[in-house]
Amino acid sequence: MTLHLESKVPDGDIETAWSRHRQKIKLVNPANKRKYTVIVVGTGLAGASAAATLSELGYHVKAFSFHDSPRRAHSIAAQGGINAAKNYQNDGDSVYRLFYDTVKGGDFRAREENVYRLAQVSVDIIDHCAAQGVPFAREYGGLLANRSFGGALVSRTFYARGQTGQQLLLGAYQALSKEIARKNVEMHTRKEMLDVVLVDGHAKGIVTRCLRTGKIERFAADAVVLATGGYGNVFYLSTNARASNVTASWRAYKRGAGFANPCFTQIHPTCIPVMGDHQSKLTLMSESLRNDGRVWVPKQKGDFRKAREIPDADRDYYLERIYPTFGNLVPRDVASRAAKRMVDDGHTVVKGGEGVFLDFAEAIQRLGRDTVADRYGNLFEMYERITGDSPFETPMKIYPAVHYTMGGLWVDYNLMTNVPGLYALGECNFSDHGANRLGASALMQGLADGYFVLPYTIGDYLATQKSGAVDTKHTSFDESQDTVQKRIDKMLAIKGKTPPNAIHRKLGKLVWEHCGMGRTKEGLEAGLAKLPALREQFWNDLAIAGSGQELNQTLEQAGRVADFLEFAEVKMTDALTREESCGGHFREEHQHPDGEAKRDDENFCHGAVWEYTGEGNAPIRNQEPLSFRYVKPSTRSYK
Amino acid sequence: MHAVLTLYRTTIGKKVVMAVTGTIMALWLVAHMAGNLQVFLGKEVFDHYAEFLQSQQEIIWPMRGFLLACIGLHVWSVVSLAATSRAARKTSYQGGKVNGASTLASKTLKVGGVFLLFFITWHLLDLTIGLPVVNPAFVRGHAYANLTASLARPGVGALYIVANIVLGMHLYHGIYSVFQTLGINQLGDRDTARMAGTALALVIAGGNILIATSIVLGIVGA
Amino acid sequence: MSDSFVIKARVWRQDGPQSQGAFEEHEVTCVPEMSFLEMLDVLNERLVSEGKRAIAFEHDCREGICGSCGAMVNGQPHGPADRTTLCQLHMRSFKQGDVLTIEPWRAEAFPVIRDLVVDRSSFDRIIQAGGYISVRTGAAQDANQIPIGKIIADAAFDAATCIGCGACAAACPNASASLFTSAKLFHLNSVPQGEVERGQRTLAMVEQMDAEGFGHCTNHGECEAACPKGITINHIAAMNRDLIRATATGR
Repeated sequence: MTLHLESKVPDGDIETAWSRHRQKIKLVNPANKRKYTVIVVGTGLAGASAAATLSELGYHVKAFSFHDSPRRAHSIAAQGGINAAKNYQNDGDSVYRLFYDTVKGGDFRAREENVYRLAQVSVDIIDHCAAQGVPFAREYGGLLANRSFGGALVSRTFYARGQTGQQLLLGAYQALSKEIARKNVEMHTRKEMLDVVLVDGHAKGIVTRCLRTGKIERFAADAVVLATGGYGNVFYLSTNARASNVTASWRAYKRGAGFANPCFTQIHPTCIPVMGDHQSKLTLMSESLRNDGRVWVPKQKGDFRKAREIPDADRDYYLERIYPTFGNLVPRDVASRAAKRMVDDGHTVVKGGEGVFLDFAEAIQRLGRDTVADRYGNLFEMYERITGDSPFETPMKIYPAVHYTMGGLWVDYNLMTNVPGLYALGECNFSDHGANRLGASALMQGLADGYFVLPYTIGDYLATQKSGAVDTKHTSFDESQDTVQKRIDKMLAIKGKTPPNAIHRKLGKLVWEHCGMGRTKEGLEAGLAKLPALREQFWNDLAIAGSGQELNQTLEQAGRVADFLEFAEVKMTDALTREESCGGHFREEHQHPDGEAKRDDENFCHGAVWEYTGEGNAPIRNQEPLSFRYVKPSTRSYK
Repeated sequence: MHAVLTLYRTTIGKKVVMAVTGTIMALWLVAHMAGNLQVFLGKEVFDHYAEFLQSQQEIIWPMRGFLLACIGLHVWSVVSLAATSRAARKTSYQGGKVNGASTLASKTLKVGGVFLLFFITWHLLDLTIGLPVVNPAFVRGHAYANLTASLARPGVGALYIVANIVLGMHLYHGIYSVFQTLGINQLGDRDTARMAGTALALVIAGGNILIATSIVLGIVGA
Repeated sequence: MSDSFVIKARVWRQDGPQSQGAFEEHEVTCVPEMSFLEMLDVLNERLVSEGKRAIAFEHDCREGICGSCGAMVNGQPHGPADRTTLCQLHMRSFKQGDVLTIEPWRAEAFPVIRDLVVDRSSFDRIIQAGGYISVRTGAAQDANQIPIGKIIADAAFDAATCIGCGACAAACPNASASLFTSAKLFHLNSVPQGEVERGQRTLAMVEQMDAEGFGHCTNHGECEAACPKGITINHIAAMNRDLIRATATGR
């Protein structure tokens, strides 16, 4: 334990913790705010909302996106909705209940105080987004509509058809655009952050590569905020956007920021299965389909008759069989693991691949084709667009896929990493979801961090700093720029035969096989043993055509794959050392006789925070102990 | 005035000018066509009608000026807009461009407009001014004879029919566009706009073509 | 796997904004399950392993919502499938021997950066001109204080579903950005929260649209046919009306 991990969680009762904390933290004089510059990297929900709000407060903001526009971030793809403890449905929801559900849903691996604050500000998010003009779904009376979602007994999810993430991101993007127009936010698009610059141990700037021209540039600030998303693409195939990557967090880690719980990955049970080697990404089908669809596999292994030709007697409706109470509606992780068990036992429905059926025949018969079309028409169309099959005629084929990552940069209650002046927001931090995230909570956390938490807490740090103390002439910038340039040159100099995409694909298969839905000691060790060879292939046989002084997407990808290759090792080591099952982390050695996850609260009730110790050295595992004063740890059961 | 100038500065403002002037001209064309239908009532009625119009000098000249101004504004706006649109895409698609929704009428609007400008000039020289080169048989005051003699020439008759087909297409898309440009069909009632365009095109062009065809076929004439 | 087949991709290659471009032809073996972008991935992997530059194209979410991807395929924005972005277009739309001419969006307001990648920051500047509701974080009242009828809310949503891909301007014979601009205007102008800034917003965004060098609308409806999200030109009519109203009344 060498990292200084002070959570800065307020003492005393949890209900008033956030307001007491806000009273206590230091403020920056309004007249001085404009003298402070804050760099925000990433302009998804968390980054755009933070950049806009910081600018509204008067800070000077430099925002960075590697996309062509801040509107492209992967937050845009979130379908389901956003939770808020509004209790508009009068069904007994409250801040406490949302807090409770989130802590329990996270399998008791999140910090209670952070989660409570998240539940508290959730209501402000809805107010703010409605005021921004976000077109939430409404009832005929004009009031906001809600839907229910997995893991909760109340209806608290606000939504905008199946495009809630898009509408919320566009709201944040518009708020950011307003501040760009005021010239208070300096927007840098097509610039990828490749290093965090530390001056006397404090984050004071970044080094970027302009993706258009290849120019390496330096930017100085009084604080640096990372909102750069999750690391799901370490699996190559995931529901994440193609460009999503770990690079920004990873470079921060290599500059001393702790990386917490990298083994926590969420697998979504209903995605369209992999159809071949060319596959570049997986598409999620909304969880709501399980409300009326029945999941089954053929009883006979290797039975590839057409689904409609398999009689009922030859089908195994395994979720209904194993979980008679919840049936097809068991939580995400339970449904995912059950599908994996069936497929591992040879009952796949995809020739040469992995998949199970999700069948609507019974629903069509019971409700009529029109009702089913009314409920799921859009999703059926999307499925048909991708697969060419109509779910009206033949069952959908589905399989679990990587969807979200709960681990990330360690942050304290102020969302600051252990590096002073370096903040992490949204999916790229580890804070609120523990070992498993509930549906409709990712949007909530991204916006809570960006709109309502960081803008207050960053003042506590900035007030201690002399504004504009560092400029890009400082030698730390020379060192960083040099590191970045050397690495790019090194990759370009290899001139081998293997494109980065091919190596990424191999890495993905390796991580999925050894650190996917079910993990074992042997499997993880075998996976870790295979990693060095892959890294060697990368650094000896990488092919990149073109130069570094131009738009070169192969070079961009290579840099990201290089970081994934390093990150995978820490991720798998974390999975190996966490000798328990919890949430998205399932160690097959640690399960109850009925196959449910078995937590070890005595030994693993903590966040595991990995510390970089230099090239080639093993990282150090630090711990932040977790205590549960309000929600007492219990075993989740959905039978 | 400030408001009009602000509006006219935008591309949409220029389209508004085109829509307003186009509507005025279209309404005038309805009256023009309806009046000319009197050719079916015989020489006397028609000549009398022409004489009546000629007697209203204090109305006719302002009217002519007004229409000319409409044409001028219509043309001026389209010239300016066409320059904008040319500048907006200097490289065209080399792999071709598949037609998504545009119609023959929408695609020929500009070239049709140029043709109509030419035709209107011809038409004025032919039957209003009576330039001998254009209409050798023209005798001032003999409206019926002038009309029938001119259109009885097969080439001229054909020109009038073709011009009215072009006019019909121009109106079909133009009137529909008026609804779009002035935002009249903003509630999604695009059918009304289509119907209005089709109806005006059929009425105006149809009436005119009826007259021209009747003369060409000798049903009406001297 | 189903049967594979070979197509000929005729792709526009251009090194930079000032460079001369030209078509380059490659044969690619496809399977019907492949997406169009995966076909390009396969081609690119081959090119790179042969030491040749990959074809630059923009893409990200690959599920039709981020708006990054887009190209003309045989003269159709996003290819032949209806209401489908390029990333969701699958190779089963094509067959053995097909020649696919693939070009970048063409508009002066979308200058080519490289190959199929164009600069669409003009769209961002249109939004910056007024495509927002000026509300500061923390200043909002309770969300249910202002009811919005379901019909209005749904209509606003239909407009807000625009992904900013640029297909509308690419499809328009005049390279007009009217559909994009009007969709955002309709979304914000139709909800009560956006009413206060309605006139000012409309004028500002229209003026910016013109300043970016987009052409004007001649009501062909090509944009609507090309839009992967089914946004309609009724919004253009609404934008025109709002502009007239704004200049006439100042609201």
